[in-house]
Amino acid sequence: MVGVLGNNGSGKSTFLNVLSGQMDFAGDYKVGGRKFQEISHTESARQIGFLPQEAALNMPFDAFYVVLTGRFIHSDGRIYSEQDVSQTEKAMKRFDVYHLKDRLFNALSGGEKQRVLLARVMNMDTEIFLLDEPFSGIDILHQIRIVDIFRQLRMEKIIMVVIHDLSFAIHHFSRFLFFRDGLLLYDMSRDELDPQKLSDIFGVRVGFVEQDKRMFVYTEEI
Amino acid sequence: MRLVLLVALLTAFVAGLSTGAVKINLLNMSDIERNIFFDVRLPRVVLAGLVGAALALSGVLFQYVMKNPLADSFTTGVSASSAMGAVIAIMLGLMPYIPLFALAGGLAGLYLVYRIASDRGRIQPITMLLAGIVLSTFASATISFMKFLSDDAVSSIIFWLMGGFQAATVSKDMILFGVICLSFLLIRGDYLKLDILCFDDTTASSTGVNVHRLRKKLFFAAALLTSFSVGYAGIIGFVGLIIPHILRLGNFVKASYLLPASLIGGAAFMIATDLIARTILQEGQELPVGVITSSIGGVFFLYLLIKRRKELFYFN
Amino acid sequence: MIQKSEVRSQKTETKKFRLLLVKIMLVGTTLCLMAFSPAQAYEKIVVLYPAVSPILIELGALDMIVGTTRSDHAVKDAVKVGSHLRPNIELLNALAPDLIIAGSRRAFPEEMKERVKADIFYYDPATLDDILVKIRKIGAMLGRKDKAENLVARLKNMLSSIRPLTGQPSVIYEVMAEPLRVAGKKSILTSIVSAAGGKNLVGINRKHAVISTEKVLKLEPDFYIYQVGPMNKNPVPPGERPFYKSLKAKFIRVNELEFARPGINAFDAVLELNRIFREEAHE
Repeated sequence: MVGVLGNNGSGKSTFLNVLSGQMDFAGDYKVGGRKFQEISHTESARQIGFLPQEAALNMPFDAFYVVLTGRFIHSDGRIYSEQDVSQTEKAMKRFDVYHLKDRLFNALSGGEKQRVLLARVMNMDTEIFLLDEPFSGIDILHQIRIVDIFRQLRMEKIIMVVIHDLSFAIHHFSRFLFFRDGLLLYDMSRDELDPQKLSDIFGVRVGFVEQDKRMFVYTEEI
Repeated sequence: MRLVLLVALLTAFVAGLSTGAVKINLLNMSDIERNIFFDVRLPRVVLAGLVGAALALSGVLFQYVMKNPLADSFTTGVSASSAMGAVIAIMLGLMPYIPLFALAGGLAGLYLVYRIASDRGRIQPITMLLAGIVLSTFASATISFMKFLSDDAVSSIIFWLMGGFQAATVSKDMILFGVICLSFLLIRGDYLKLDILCFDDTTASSTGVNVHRLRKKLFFAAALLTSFSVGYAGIIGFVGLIIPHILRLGNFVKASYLLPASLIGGAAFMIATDLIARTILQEGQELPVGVITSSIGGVFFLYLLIKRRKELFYFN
Repeated sequence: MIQKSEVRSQKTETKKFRLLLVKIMLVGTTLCLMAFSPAQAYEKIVVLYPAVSPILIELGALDMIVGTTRSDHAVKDAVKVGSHLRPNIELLNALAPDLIIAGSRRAFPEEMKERVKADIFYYDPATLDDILVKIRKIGAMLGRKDKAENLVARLKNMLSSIRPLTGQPSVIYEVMAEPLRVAGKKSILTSIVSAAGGKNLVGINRKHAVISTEKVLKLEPDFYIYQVGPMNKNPVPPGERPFYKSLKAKFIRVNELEFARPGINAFDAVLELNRIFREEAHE
């Protein structure tokens, strides 16, 4: 579980877009032991599940079908199998959106949509998940439930999440990538976090307070 | 629902075959009646059905390519450039080659729009819509210019542009049937991809769909369908737009339902409107079928817009 | 002119009186001509309907034609003022004609009329008789009644030379192949066909009608005449059209300019058609 942090426009989304192959880039990186530039489009989709910051749908599909489309790479390309359907049901229940399954996706509220889309990406069942601000618009209760699901998966999957809430991130994540001005500045574990470095990255004064063995972050303008 | 469509098609087909300018006793045909039935009416009803199917399917495909519910062969400029080709043929007096010219015009328009709207092999829907509108305007202007140049051929051009199935022949039927089969086979395996194409490009692409390659394929198939339809029957408006919309409101939303349904629905609608066009006047006179499709289709579509605005709203 | 004839009737009285009257008459006529000549005998004419030009030429009025449409090939020297549907108003006015002969009210509507100074004469005969009536009218307008009478007599004579047929062949006349338009009741062709001894099977009360090919097969014409010209540039010969496979009619190809234009040519067309009917009947 990796938290990706940084101010707006610092290059987090670009980084995720590049990793997922949605943006052309120079250079290369290895995924599953193979050079990314050498694997096919379909193959990369099989390896990496990507949740972009903004998603749109211009067809009146119900929520169930939206989640089902996440199984495309596992289908034969022509029809979704029984297994795809049962996996979809499972994913929807897991993200607490099963009760929305017959509603039109575009008629859902912002948070509900986001949860459906998250269920959809997780339904891809890839090795790597790149999630660009998955918590935006989601209530606290579901944020905690979702991050709990991530935690259960953390041993088998790589989950990289763009997140803005520092306290939330520090509490739940163990490794962090910090971006500033288009550069990846730090790659740190939780133990390496340092108020001075964070202040430097975000341009605000960051302080840590420990209470009941939990780390809290306070911030103020410099 | 599929059953409803099939019944509608069958009803339209039977009604189309049994009614016409000349009354025919189907059970006991005289020689003339048999000739009328097999040489004129049957090829015509079949052509109407095929053109309706082709136009509705091309409309659906264009809507997938453009991500826009208003897209059809008009907004993409393919229709107008086909018509321009046909009008050039009329101007030059090359009547037998109208379909060929229409096809050439349509494909030229397709290539132009594609070149303008694609950046390194990727079609940009909005640019394509704009390019299509520009091309339509240009083609219409050219047609007007040619009308101006040839006063005597004007009515020929006008009537031709309004569309009709008078010149139906068995060979045209067979060619168009082949084109529809080809296009349909080309995209038949892509139903799931088409549905995913309805998401934004990033989502669709990261789900495993090669968005740009798919768009190219759809665009080509749709342009082929449009060019042949225009070549054989002139410009018939509205079919590519309203049939898919009506079907979506009738819950044919997924591509695996929508595509076959648009073929059947388009065919049924066109056979029925052509039937009206050729029987509404007396003494075997005919109206251009485009007049009927646009008026009936327009009114019906307006009704749907007003009554079921909410569902339409969810497209975006 | 009326004054002239009245004066003439009194002419038989005394010689002296007659001379005086002749003098008055001459002065009067001159005055009359000076005062009314534009309204009575036109001199500068624009022809917006090509079928009219041959008539004017027959009346010896070629020199009066100052403007024509661009598709008028009978008159070489006149200024081309555009097409019959869209003449150029500036060109029209620059020619300062005193008479414009137009096809129909639709081709030359009221608002166009207000923009030119000339008088308008509409020439749109629907029958052969109508053509003769119109020729007489034009003759009167140009002060060439005699020539008009001669022409009318000659044309009538042509019609009387037609030899009767044994039967009355039925005809469908194709104006345009795609979409199929045929000559209706109001077309000059109905008149031409019947003068030639035949019968137009299409009784629809219009000039042209778009009809179903089914109807054509049902009507079973003896002759299927198709015109070739500006309206029907290069049609597929009807015999090669699959839906006419079973049509037993004889297919006759005619020149649109010779047949469909309601002018002097229409009378030649009658003779030509009559000849075709007779020859085919022979076979």
